[in-house]
Amino acid sequence: MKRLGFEWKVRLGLGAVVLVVGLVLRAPDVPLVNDLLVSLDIWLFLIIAYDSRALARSEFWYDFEVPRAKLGVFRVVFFSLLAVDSWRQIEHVARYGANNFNVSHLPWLDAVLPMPTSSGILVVFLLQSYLAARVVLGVNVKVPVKLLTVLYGYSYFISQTDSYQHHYLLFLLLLISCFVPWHRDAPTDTDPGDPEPAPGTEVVKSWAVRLLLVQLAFLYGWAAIAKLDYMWLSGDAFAQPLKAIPWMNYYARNMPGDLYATPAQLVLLAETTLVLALLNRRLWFWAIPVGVGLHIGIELAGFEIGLFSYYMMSMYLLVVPNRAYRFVAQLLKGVTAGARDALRRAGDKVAGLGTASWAVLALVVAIGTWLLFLLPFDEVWFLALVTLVVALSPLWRRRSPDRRHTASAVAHVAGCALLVVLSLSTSAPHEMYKQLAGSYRRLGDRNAMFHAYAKLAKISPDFGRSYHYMGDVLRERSEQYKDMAAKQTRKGDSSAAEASTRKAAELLERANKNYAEALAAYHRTHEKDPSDYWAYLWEALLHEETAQRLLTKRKLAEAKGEYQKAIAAAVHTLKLKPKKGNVVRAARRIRQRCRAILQRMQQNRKQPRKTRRRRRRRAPSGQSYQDP
Amino acid sequence: MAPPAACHYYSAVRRTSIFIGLFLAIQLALPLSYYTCRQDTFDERFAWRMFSPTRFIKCSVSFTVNGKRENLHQTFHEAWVNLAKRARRDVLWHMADRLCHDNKGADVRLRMTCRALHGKRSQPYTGAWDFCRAGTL
Repeated sequence: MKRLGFEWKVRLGLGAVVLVVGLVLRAPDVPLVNDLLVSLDIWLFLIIAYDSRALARSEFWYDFEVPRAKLGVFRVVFFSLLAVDSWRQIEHVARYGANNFNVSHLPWLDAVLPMPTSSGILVVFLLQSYLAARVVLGVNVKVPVKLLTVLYGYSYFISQTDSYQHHYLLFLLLLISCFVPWHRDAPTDTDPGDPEPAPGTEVVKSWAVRLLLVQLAFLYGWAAIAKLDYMWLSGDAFAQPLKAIPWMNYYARNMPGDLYATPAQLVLLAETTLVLALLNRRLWFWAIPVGVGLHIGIELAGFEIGLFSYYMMSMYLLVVPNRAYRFVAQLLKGVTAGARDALRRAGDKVAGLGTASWAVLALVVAIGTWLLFLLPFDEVWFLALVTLVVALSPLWRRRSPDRRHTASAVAHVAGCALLVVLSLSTSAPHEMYKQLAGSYRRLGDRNAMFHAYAKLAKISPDFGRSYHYMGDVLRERSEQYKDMAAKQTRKGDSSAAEASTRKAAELLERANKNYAEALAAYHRTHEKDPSDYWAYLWEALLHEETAQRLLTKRKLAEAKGEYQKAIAAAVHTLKLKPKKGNVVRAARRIRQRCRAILQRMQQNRKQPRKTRRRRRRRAPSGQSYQDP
Repeated sequence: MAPPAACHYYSAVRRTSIFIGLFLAIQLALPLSYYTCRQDTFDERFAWRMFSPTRFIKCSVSFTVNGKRENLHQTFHEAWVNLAKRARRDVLWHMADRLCHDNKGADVRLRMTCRALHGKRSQPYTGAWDFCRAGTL
């Protein structure tokens, strides 16, 4: 007890009092463990309130020391995540400015800034990814971090469709990051005359890094307060998203007692513990297992929160003990020093070329920009222009190139290469055009829809739906030309009518080609992934539509074959997706409709010719499938 | 008289302290406003209310234009319709505004029924209010 300082005696005393009060006042029908947890929580809150006095002390901010190695590792991990996450965001560009509707997070932004567009926001996300990659490489970090903060702030605040709270958190973290001394030219605790510090021992004082941790503490504190609610403490709110996860639901049903209440209260306890641990350096050791454990749990639970857990886990790199970084830096001393020297030598060599160095730099930058044109977006021109400006910004006010310029050019190539690699290795462009095309389809913009599906067909040739919808649009246009030709014929303009008929035939031919391509793509999907029920459903739909068209043309035998194929595909869908849902309902409806038509066709064939003629006269309009 | 370098240092520290103070004040005030003065309790932005019970309230939204039910998906992107289902007032009112703009002189009403976790039902909008006449924003 003598070892504990006065502050800790006060903390423990307060905690003990609250604990006893909590136990005495506990409700008889609530389990003891729940009361203990809640009491501990109140205790922690009191400690936090007591600890928060530290925020007012100047040394709390200005004497906060961080090893440079820690900053470096954090920068690489955090901004790598940001580069990948920004790329993933392109899937959601369809939301921005759809049908000229937008509500920004801050009401005055709507008046100040123009309506966001999917193209504009796509460029913003791509630029974010590019800039984050540059920050990872540590080349001219200041400007990219500031630019990244502005762009991130814009993409978050401009539309409420981005409702992720962690995107708001990321903006705040980026804002603070603008003040973090990422560069070596920041003030250190070593004098200029001092010898080069040993690897991992160089330390910088940074209030911004402290503020990053305080921001996290705020987040956990408010999140804990939000959970001081009966719905959370009883486990009901906690259970809601978890019940959707099959293995979680299985254990919940098969384990005795109230499974969700205790973990829900443990989450609350963990969050309050983290507030305390993040504010107090001596407790960092506890922050890592509690915080990382909490976020691993969140990630395993499978919530749809993007990379939130990974970002939060990366933040805990800042509370890893300094001696761990020192140890790793010593271990990698040879590698890091070698790499740094090699880069310096290369930079110096290029700078030493004189006028030719400009040509070398221009070539390197041009290679990077050329890489951007491999991306499957129409907006690449604008992206290339902005990245060029960023890459060439260090040249501003300099007459001859130096090591920095070489590094900037190399970082430009790396940033562009990252975008290309992500484009080739992820499905984000496919998802983006799929969402865009779907959005245009629902909102009735047929031209934009056609364009988006055409892009999608280029990116994913095996995605049959794009050909299917393109075929629909072409057929609609063909019908329009047919109508036009009929009108022109009535007016007596035979040459125009002929041209329109020719155009209609051409469009119809293209439509049929697209339908054939769609069918081939569905078959390719069946071969690649026999469990893909969507492809079977769409195939069924395509066969049904084709059958209907054949019926109107009185091609009964072919129509019958198409109906049978539609039924087979629908049955296959139902085999693969036996549970209830929209897919099952759609497949059943197709099967039902096709069977009914086939039955009627069968009946009509069995009936004698005279009766059929009589029935045809009586039949309501639109039933053109009867055999004449 | 203090040397200029020290002056510069102290003014930088003052500026930094102001920034930190402002930052902390905003981080205290914004979430606190949710519990004290925010009228729309469904709007949990900037309050760090992750996985809160409010998030699990499910609402059904229907706008009527001159008594006829509007298909929201034909006017608004799915993301906005989903936000409307979370009863976000800002979004709902902007939607109403848009419908009034698209249907000049029409009668635009909103009906919304919400169900909380324990099945408790509430009706934040009953359809009694013509947004175009009463004004929305």
